[in-house]
Amino acid sequence: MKKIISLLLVAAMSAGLLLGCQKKEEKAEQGQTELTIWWWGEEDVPGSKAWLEQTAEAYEKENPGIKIEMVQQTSDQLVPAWETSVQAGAGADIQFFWTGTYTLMYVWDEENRSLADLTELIPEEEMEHWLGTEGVSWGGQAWAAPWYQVSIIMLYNKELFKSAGLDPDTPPADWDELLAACGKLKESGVIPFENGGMKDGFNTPWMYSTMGIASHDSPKEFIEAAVNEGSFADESNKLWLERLYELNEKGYLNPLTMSNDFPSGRESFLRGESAMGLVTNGQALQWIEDMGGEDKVGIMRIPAYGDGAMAGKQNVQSQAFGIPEFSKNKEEAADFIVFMHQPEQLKSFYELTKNFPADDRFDSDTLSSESEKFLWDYLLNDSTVYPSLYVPSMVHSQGNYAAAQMVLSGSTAKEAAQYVEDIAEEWRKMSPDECEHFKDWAENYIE
Amino acid sequence: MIRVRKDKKRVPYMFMSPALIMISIVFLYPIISVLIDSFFQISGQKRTYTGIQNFRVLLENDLFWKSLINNMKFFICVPILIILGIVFAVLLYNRIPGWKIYRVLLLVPYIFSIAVTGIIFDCILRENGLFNILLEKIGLGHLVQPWLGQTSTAVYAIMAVIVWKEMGFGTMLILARLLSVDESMVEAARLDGAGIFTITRKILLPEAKPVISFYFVLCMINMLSWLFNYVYVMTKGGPVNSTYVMDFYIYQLGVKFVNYGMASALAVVLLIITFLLVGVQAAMQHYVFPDEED
Repeated sequence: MKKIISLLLVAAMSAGLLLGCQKKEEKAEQGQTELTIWWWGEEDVPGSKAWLEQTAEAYEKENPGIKIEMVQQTSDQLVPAWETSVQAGAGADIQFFWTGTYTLMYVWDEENRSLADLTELIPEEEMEHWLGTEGVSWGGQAWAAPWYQVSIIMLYNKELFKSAGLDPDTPPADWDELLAACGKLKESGVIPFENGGMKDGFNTPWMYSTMGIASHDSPKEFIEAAVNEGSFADESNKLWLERLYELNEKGYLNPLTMSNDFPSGRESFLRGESAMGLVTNGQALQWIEDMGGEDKVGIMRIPAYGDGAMAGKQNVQSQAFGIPEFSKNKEEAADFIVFMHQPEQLKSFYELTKNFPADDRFDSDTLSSESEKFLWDYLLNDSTVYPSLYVPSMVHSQGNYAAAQMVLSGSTAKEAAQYVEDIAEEWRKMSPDECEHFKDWAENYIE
Repeated sequence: MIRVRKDKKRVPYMFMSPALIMISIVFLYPIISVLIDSFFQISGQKRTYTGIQNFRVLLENDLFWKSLINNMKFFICVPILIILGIVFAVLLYNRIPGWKIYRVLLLVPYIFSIAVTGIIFDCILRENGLFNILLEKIGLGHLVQPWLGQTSTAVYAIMAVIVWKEMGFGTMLILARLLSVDESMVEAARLDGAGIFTITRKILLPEAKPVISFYFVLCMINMLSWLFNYVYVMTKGGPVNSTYVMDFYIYQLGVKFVNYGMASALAVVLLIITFLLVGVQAAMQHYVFPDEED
């Protein structure tokens, strides 16, 4: 009797397992295709989840044969889950990507590409509207569809500017003006510039994207630095560390910067304790509202910290969606991506997130405030890339993070830059394949 | 008759087989996979056999050595945890006034999740945090500093947090063993005029030796392969990569830098060191406490 019960139990469990596995296949048999999206973004752009849900619902209504399954992932899950799916050859039909190296590493080896060729799936006239494709392009074509654009911009507190005797309508535009303004602000008793807490190093990409670009003429120089021995210690790659060192040395940064973590540091601007601060474009609009409106807080252009062609430009990164090569529903996935870029969806994305979608069909006439118009104009006409996506993640994470912390702890810019170069040297040994791809990237980079 | 005996011999193995299969899937397969991956350079779907190159590069890598040395530094926590565990266990065993409250209070930090503990201490140890405010209040203002924000103190600050959080576990472990000591032995010693120190030294400590030896090895293994959460929550390996430990470095290599070959090589190194420690524990059990083996 026991034997029979055991056998029945095992049979029931096996049947359950098989039924679970069959669910997706059954849907296919019923004529319904299930599109799975692995995505990230709510941490970056609050409201993106609501938009995705709304868009999926609208798409399902128009396409009753499609069911969209969304799987939200955390920052730590995103890359390992995708990597595992690449190894297993099964996973999402639409995959979220941070751009730059995080996307290109899956396409630059022609024989082992993990991403489908979008030019075979999406009409060219559709792709022409996409913005910020630099970070997802290889061999002259985009391998992922940009979703939204994020940039790090600067806010300044007009009232603190006035109290320090500065013109609240003319924020500093270059390095000399910034130093002069910081001097006056410090004398008035406020923190001139809140760069965000640096204990965890997370503010480094923001400093790199605003200061690090200043001595460069092209994103290509970042890619070249990774593969050219000694380059991270040269003058152009050292400049941002010199600027950071000087700001800290003169007491223009929050003295608690090495003790605070990233979010708690940034909030000193929100509390009105510091006169200038870094913030994402979407969050900027919220902070302006929270702090009393455009009369109290303004958005300024990134000061030109150096004299490179990229200096003073707005850094922009497009977060993107790609279609995995292993997906069995590539055409349906491509169709949904096209749907996400329709004017109505672009409009609702901005309404829900206050972030700009990565498409030039976004109707800027819907922008009402001066800040919104300024940001859109800055992004459209005077922007550049987010540079940390153009250096190997190991060099950035181990090298740049540490270098910024070094100069804020009293080391010289030269020592810190040499440290970055030492990490780059380690990277060249540890990741020879990636290094070769960077060489290709540098040689074939298209502006 | 012979056939029946043979079948009987197979029966235990049949009963064990589900467990063995599960263990193989859960433990052996990942270990073998990691071992194989450690000999490859893995880039997306491309795998290139590189022999022992990953290990060679790793041994030349400064951050690998820094991580290993940091793990060794964390071994300082081990004697501290053991001594505090013994002291508190003996005090609780002797039912000092308020022992029931102390017993709960000692265990409370252990109940907190590491993430919560890390975040709380991150705030407490800031330059303008509670700890520095207390230092100022008691006239030690000159000691105020960003404990987690400078290379000279960050590792030691994490150690202090670990000791605070983990000592309750050791205390309870040792106390549980002490409570199973034959009461008549302790009573007899008391009747003979032995004080608390003599009873502890002559009866309680010898009785608790196997548990202490087990706890010692457990702590050692923890300090090698279980520090990730603390480091991740409190410092992210910084400042200036000064709090890198091996499990955090494995995570960085594998998850952040997508270098699975190198991450696997480091995992293999960590595994070997951990096995060596388990071997030490087995040797200790065999040579130092031979009576307890049974």
